[in-house]
Amino acid sequence: MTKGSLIVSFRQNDEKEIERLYNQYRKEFTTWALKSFKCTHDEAIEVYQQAMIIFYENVKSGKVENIASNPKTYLFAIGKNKLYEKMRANVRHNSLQEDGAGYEPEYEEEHYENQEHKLQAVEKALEKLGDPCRHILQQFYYHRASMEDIALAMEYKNAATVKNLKYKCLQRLKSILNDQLNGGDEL
Amino acid sequence: MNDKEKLDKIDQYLLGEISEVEKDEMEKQLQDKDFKADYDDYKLLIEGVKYSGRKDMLRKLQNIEEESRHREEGRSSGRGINRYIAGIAASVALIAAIFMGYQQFGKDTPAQIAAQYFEPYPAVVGGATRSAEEDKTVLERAMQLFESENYSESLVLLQTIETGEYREVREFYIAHAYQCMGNPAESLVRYQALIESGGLFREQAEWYLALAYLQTGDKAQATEWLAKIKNSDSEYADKADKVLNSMNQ
Repeated sequence: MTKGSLIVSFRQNDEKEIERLYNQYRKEFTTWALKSFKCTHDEAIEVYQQAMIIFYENVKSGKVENIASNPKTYLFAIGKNKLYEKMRANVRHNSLQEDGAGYEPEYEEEHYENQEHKLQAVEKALEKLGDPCRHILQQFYYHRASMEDIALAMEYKNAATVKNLKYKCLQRLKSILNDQLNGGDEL
Repeated sequence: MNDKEKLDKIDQYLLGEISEVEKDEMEKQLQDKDFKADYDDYKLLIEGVKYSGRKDMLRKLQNIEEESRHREEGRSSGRGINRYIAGIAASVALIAAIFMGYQQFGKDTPAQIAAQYFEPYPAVVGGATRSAEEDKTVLERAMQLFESENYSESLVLLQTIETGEYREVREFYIAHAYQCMGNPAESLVRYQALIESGGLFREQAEWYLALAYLQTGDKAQATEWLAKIKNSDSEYADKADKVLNSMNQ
């Protein structure tokens, strides 16, 4: 499959293509990661999955169109970067432990933790919201599907109907989130 | 502006589907306290939806991983036969690749051969899991410029980065930016330094150094490096083999 058709398949949310790509480079990636970074097999798989997700998101957002490289090069480059980050984080963590200092999260880490809590709260609200709203919102914001494509796939009248629904779904999501917060759920 | 229109604007802004003029307008509107409050609410919801989508995607990949492991376990008994078949298939593929290489590159100059194999190394630092609004480091901005093939501006930014923990990334992409801009001679020394330091970009530096020699017409140096790569366990070993075959036609 060419890079162009891979991108088209990703754009159309072709799950088979995601599976095919995952399996195509999985073994080669883990072998390379184990050899080059002395990580465990599980760590290599974790990073490979992160790389796949970043690749998928970049295809969806159109970023990959500007890159004259094939999926393997792209996946390995992201993977290398992630493994490199992991290695640096391990070194930093070990040196803190060797210094005998307690692990004090810095401001930036606290900020990310706080943000993570907020996102988890929205995720919980989204679960309560349920389908079809959850599906419409995910298709539009994460998979970057157009209103027309969502209308076609979910058998709605037209794009305007989906746009209207999406607006209502977001309003509902906001209200559920607020209820969660007012009901004492932790953010 | 009613609520729906407001949401449309916020969508376009957050998804990067907005013109420069509209972006400026949006940034002016964000000075307004009430508008900013609505914007923050929607932004959190949208980021939360994307977060949930990413987690679903991760679960899908974990399921694929599980299935792959099961398949591997199930196949282990028939591995001997499979290896034999795979060996034959690999041999056929290798013969075909050599034949194709002969057909395709037989009469090409070193620079033309390099052009057949050269593709820019992806610029990926940070990744897409962070939101667009978060501060980007100079390196991340340089990578974005590199990714959009704006090598000259990327180079300027890369040169402003202090040599610290990102030294290797900086050095590699400076060398590579020169090469991508069509100035391989400038990249030679830099790739050699990276190879000598033996860091994370060693394999890439070796490969692109060999191509840089081809691009500058130094066939002897290119051959030496390609042979070295071919005989190593570099991820570029197969490609180096193919280039050597092309050169020997």
